[in-house]
Amino acid sequence: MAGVRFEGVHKRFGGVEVLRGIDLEIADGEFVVFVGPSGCGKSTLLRLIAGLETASAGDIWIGDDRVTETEPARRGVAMVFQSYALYPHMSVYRNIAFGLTLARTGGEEIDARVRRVAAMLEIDGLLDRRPRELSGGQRQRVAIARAIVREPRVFLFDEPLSNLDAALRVQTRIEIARMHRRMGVTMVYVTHDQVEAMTLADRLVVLHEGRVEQAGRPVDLYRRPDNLFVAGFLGSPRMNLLPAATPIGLPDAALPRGAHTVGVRPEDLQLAGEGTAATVELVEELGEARIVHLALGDGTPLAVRHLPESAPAVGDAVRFGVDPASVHFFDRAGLRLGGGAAVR
Amino acid sequence: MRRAGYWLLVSVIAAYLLFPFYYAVVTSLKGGSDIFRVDYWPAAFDFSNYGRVFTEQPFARNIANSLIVAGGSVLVAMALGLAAAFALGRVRFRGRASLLLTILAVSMFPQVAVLSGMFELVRGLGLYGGLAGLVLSYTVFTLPFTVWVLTSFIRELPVEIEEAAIMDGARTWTLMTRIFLPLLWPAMASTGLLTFIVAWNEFLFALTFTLSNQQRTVPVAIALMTGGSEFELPWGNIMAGSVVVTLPLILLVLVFQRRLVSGLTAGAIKG
Ligand SMILES: Nc1ncnc2c1ncn2[C@@H]1O[C@H](COP(=O)(O)OP(=O)(O)OP(=O)(O)O)[C@@H](O)[C@H]1O
Ligand SMILES: [Mg+2]
Repeated sequence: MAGVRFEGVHKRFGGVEVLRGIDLEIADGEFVVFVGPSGCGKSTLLRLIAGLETASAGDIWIGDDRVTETEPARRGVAMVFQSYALYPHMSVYRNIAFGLTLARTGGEEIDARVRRVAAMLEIDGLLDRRPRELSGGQRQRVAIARAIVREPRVFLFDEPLSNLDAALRVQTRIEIARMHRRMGVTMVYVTHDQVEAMTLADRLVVLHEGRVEQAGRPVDLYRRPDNLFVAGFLGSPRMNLLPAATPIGLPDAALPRGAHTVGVRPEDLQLAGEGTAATVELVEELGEARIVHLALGDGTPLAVRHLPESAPAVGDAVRFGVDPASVHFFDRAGLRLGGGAAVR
Repeated sequence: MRRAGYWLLVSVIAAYLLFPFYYAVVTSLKGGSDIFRVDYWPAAFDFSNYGRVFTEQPFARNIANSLIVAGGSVLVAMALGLAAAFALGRVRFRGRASLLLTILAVSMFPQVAVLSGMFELVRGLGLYGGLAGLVLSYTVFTLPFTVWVLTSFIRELPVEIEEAAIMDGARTWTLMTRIFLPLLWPAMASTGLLTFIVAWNEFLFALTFTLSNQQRTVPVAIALMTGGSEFELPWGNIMAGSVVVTLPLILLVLVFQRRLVSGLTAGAIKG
């Protein structure tokens, strides 16, 4: 068991700088999730921990070992790939045992460990099958078993659930969370899925163009985003980001000096009898709520999360109110100026 | 009606392809001067030609030579081909694409064009007149195709499988023998079989690089069979010899048939 530390890590592919100075510390036993738009360098960062890529500059530490140049198998990390990457020509048993065999572990110990891990993941009935005879969910379990059996110090997951259907994804997500509680081992997880990110992470790291935009508890990032990028990236539907001058019914005194952009989450707006006037453009039904898309007098779009059953119809003239305490302010450079609800 | 037409077409093609071999079988079973009469059905079953082909020249020795040369070429081509394909398919280096094209271009030269160069090479290495010289020249000729096919197969394999193996502690040698070799087995079976057939049937190099009947391979031995006099060709022996040496190929293809088909098509479909 060990933490992971990045010190000024850069990664270039040819002339393209993909990671531009990453300083990040992952504590021992922590569950850290990397999120960010496609191509921001999440997988590259993960592969640097794994040793499948080497850093162009900077250092990587796992526990007390500087592993910047260490070969992958000696880092004590295991990785679960998005495509599972099982060995197609080996049985499930041999897939799980392969790493132990290469490490020249004794035959009896291999057998005991493979069977224990297989029982834990409920794949003990499948040990003689080939990967092509398994369902997607079963392959996923074999891939996780293959990672666990080596008893790594750090677990790496690169979008492990993206090939599963929605129901299985939720179930496996819960199992991974449970596995983390039980084993208490450091896990680093890459995903596109906001719900996965918010629910799994002890700490969320938002990456953008090869830099860490913000790292912290999911709830902190959600409630107090450091900058416009994080504000716009986390949350679905997206936070409304408007020019500071837009009249949405904020008292002048609420606006800090230098405010350039205001941000309001759709759930922090309420349709009410009084407040700012707007027209309904579109209503999206989500089941437990509705997203009402409004247009202000000057045409500025604004989304409101509306809980009551009786939703307004398209074209209706409505009014909405806003709690000044829940509004975020950003300066010209996109950095946070204050505001937003305090974290409970 | 359409089925009947289909089977008719298949039979015509099969007959067209098989007739020469069939005629050789029929002829090989004739004795004496019957050979010069055109018969489409075997009239008698006279196996004396088969006996004579082995007694009048060292034909068993020739077959052994062919087996050694073809088998050796397959082994060398497979070992070198796998290693080269690994480098060309996976290791990133400058000039990789042009190297691959050069390799393919090499296999397009007509044999005669490289004959003299190959002769110098074989003699320079002191391999003239021996089987090793043949193995060398066949390997040179079949390796490009082998490398090309294996390279395209390796490129089709997901990189993540290798990366998983690397994380599991596999080094290059383990990767080659425990991951690539089993996964590429269908491709290796088909390219290996083609190499074997090319080496088994090759004539020009085999004629040029060997001196005595003891060193000859089967195609040359058959072509150089002589009869009782200068002006007489022992057609019976020639036909019997041809039938004998074709059988191993037919057996090989039948044994590897499923591999061959899956090997030649497997690259097209992702599993
Ligand atoms: N081997 C490579 N050679 C060249 N460029 C690469 C290589 N690997 C990644 N890149 C580039 O680095 C950037 C970051 O890639 P990376 O795979 O880390 O993104 P990501 O955040 O994982 O994206 P996604 O969410 O789509 O998986 C991309 O622009 C990609 O094109
Ligand atoms: Mg990725």
